[in-house]
Amino acid sequence: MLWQMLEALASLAKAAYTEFKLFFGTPLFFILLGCGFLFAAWRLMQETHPSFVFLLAILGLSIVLYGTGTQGVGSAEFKDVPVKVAVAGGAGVLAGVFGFGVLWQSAKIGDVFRTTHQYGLVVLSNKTDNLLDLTTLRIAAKSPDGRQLHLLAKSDTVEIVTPMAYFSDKLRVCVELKTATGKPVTGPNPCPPLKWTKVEVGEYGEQVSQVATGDLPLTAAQPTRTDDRNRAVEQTAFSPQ
Amino acid sequence: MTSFSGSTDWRARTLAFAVGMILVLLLADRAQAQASAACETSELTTIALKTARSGDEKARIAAARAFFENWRANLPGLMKELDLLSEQGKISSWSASDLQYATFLTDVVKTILSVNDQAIPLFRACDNERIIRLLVWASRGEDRSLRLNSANILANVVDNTTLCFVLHHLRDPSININGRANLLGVAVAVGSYAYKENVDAITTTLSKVKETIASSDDVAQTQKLIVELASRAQRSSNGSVPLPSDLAQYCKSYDYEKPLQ
Repeated sequence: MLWQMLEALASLAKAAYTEFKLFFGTPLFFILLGCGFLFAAWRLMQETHPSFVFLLAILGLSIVLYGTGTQGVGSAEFKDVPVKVAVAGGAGVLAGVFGFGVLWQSAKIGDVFRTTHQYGLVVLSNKTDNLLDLTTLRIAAKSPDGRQLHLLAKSDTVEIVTPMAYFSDKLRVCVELKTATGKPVTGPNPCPPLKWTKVEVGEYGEQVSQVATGDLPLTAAQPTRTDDRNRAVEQTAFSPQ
Repeated sequence: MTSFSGSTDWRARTLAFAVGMILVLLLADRAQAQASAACETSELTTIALKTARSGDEKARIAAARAFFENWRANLPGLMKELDLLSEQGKISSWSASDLQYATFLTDVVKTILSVNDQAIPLFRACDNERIIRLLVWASRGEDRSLRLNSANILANVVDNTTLCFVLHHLRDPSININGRANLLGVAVAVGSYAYKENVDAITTTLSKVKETIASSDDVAQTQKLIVELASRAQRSSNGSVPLPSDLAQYCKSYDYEKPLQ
């Protein structure tokens, strides 16, 4: 009895496994897989390099076409030269739809590839000491990978231009602040976490499409304590209450 | 001939000595004049201070930035203004605008002192007991911004010449926790180079402070500062040396029994 039940279960499992394997060869599977790639390309469009998005889209489209066109195959002979032509069933229609889409949305598609030349603007405000004029400080900004970034110091804000191949949600920019006399005034977190926000083209200049705002990591300069004869003395950490 | 030559030599030496003395006196006078000139308030500072006092936030920020830019010329004027404010009586009776103005002044002075190392000697050269007393009162006052700014300034400028004003307030049993912690922190900064009179005063002050806080709670920070100050005073590089005459103006024979001013 038990043996028969096990045999029945084994044959059921074998049949299910065969059906399962067969599914991966069906057009529906390829259509779904292709759609998955296309969905991934759409989701990653804003935060991934456009060339990668392009690859995902092309791959997704190819797989969808493969899934829809597995039936149509034809062959012919031209002057004793055999030529085989494979024509996808719905591929022609889909290609037409995508071709029309490319023409219709050409400007936006162009924008996708134009991101390689875009810039993000990081605006850091002085919330620590409103009396201090930031133009009197020596300020340097770097990306986390060590690249020097261009910046413009204004009285109350510092604007840092970051060339971006693509925009993820978050970013970090590291800032180093010194007084005119060379005293460090960088706060404890020189690389504040920031978040990009989309802005209208032209609001901050033609090529700036994203802006991130935050607080400048500024702290008070540490004075060099001296004695009555102006000789440097043992420094003390003093936090008034 | 010989005697004539000797007489000429003697006259020449006398003349050289006289000229030398005159030059020394002139140079000393000039140095004194320069020192007092360095502590004078310039006309521009006075105008900027008037603008800052009567103007809005923007005017104050603009004035502060002008003060930072030319701090050497402006610091004495800012100190003079604090000196004038000290004539307004107790800080607790000041008007809101006076408090705001004092906070502004101390904010500017604090930044000047922290950014420019040479500002501390200038402040010490131009200060007086009224300014220090005002800052000590403000460091133990109720207004938080003014208290923080004043304590910051004192921690940088108080030395052997003015430490006694700080220690006198620390002996006051009615001082609040924040004020006590601030003034102890200020005294810690001087402890490592305090002269004998000040080391003795620190020791006496600390025993009085310990007595005062014996029955108080929430004094962990105070206890820490007391240990730090006692340790620094004990190993002070000048601990066994009496105050030199040029530093003895206020603290050589300070009367800690007189009422606080």
